[in-house]
Amino acid sequence: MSKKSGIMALGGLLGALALAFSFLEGLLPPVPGMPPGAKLGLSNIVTMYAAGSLGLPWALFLAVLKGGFALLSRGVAAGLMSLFGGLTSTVCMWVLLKKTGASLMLTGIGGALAHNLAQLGIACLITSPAAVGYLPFLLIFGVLTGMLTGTVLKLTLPALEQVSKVLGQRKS
Amino acid sequence: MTKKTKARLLLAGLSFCVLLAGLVFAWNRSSQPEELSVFAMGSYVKQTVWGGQQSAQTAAAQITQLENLISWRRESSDVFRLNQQAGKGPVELSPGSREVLERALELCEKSGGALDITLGPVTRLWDFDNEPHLPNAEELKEALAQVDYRNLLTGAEACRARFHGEVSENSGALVNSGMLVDLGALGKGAACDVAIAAYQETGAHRAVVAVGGSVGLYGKKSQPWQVAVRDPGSQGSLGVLELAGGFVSTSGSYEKFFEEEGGTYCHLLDPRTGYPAESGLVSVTVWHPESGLLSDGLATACFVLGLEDSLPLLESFHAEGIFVDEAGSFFVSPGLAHRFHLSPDSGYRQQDWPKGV
Amino acid sequence: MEERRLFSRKELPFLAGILAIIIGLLLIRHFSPQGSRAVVEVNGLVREVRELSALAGPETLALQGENGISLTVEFTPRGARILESSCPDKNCVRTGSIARVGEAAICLPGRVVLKIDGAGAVDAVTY
Repeated sequence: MSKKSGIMALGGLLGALALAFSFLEGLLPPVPGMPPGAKLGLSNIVTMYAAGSLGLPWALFLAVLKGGFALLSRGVAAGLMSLFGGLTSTVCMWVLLKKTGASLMLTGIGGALAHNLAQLGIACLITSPAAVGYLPFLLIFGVLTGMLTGTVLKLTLPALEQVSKVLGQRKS
Repeated sequence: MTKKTKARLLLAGLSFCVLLAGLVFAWNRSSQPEELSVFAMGSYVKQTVWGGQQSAQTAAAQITQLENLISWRRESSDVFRLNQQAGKGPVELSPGSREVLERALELCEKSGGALDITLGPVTRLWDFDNEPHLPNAEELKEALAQVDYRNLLTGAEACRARFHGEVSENSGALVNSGMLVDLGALGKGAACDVAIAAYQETGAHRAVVAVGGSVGLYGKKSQPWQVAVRDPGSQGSLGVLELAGGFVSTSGSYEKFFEEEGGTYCHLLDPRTGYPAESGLVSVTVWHPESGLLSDGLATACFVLGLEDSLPLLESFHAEGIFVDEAGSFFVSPGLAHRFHLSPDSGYRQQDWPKGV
Repeated sequence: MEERRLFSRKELPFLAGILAIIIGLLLIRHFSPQGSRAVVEVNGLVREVRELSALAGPETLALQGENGISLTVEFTPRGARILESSCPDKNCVRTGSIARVGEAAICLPGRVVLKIDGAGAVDAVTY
């Protein structure tokens, strides 16, 4: 297997994983009292790993894929929010990981906050500025889910590295 | 990170959290008002109280106590016993109900009978609280003959002059049998008064009480109190009054009315005719600086009198008012002119307050 | 992707900053006055305005949002909420009752916003 096709395979795998996480999250009973768009952000783990290992273009592609999936399965409003939230958070996480060398937890938190803020911005645009009332809760939720994604990635990183090593035939 | 620094960090974080929680809690107690809603005086009593010891509960208890003194429906209330003994002799009143009766009588007199607290026989015929209906004209005439606030006596002297036997200082009497006192026109305002007195006693910083549509304001706020005046034609508000304090009440024909034989009859009866007042008004709001009883009673009296005849009455009590007429015009007295802000889309036209008489 | 530490102590100030912002926002929200006017907007246009403190009891209102979504709004003297919605995610319903100025329950698919308006925040209503 060549290195390029290995990256392709890894990207496809991650894409499928991101969609699977999105789908699973949709099945979870939502947290009562939480604002629209507040999600656990499990699929963020995937984009975070992609931003770290495959680079920005691949991570952005995953975000678009996720947005498209939301667009098809949950309608225009949810799709737009997912797309912009995903793109913003991907860029934010890539900058944190690659440019500042932040820890996994901080990257997770930054990504989740960026995701929620972008979604809030879209919600304000398509409904009304009153959506800003959700801000403090979105921030709290963002910090919590960000800590979760950071921790999960820390725990699964060795396994993911194994997968990418096999696919990319990189030397250890 | 060593174990020691970890423990230190944890400790520092924890103590910070505890400190913050304590601060928020303390802050909360001083600036968070207590809200209490109960049913009393036949209406929904809503209180918002800042500070004080059990202020809202005390005020609610005082309002219920007042109701037990002055409601003609409550057996053993002072007014109930007064009505029972009508034409027979004086009854002993508590100081509280005597004060309410005397203040009300002063208002009846100054309004020239446009407000009459002995209107009970007539209001019973109309029965607005249960089954409102157009009364028989003969019956109404008979009932109206019993109505005269001057035949309600208070104090030992007045009672002694009319009835023989033992008469105590706090006595009250109705001269003719068949007379009935009904304080419905000002009971809610009087309830605001006792609530405000309770706030003073219990050391509340500031409070707002609404007994039905009668409002009492106590203490200062950083911004003026905002009291919305109900739009007589809809659920919304005509506008907002910005007040530093005092009492506000409204009498409106939209509150209780019924239709029968092609006519519409509202609960605001003219004691001089026995029929609903025909003053061309749909709502009167009165502000009084010191008394809820007066603001409530004045609103009723002014509704009956109409705008022009209300001017001297409001002036004599140092009260202010907002009048809305059937044609969709409204009038704001000079003292409230800068305090009243019309709702943007209300559709009412403001007209000049009539020049003094 | 190389191994990386889960958390670094140098980043603590960033987290503290975020925490401070959250606490600040919560405090602002906590002390913002209780409003009494509920406004229902559909697609940015005001559809209904209710003076909450003038209500004697709960009142419900059925309305039609965008995308064929129908909702039921409940107004009470203490607040307002979206009681039912035919939208798929029901976020608006789960928001629960709102009572403070600036709070809102939002149905994104139906473009419906139920909010408490600051302009109508009065202390009492005379009627």
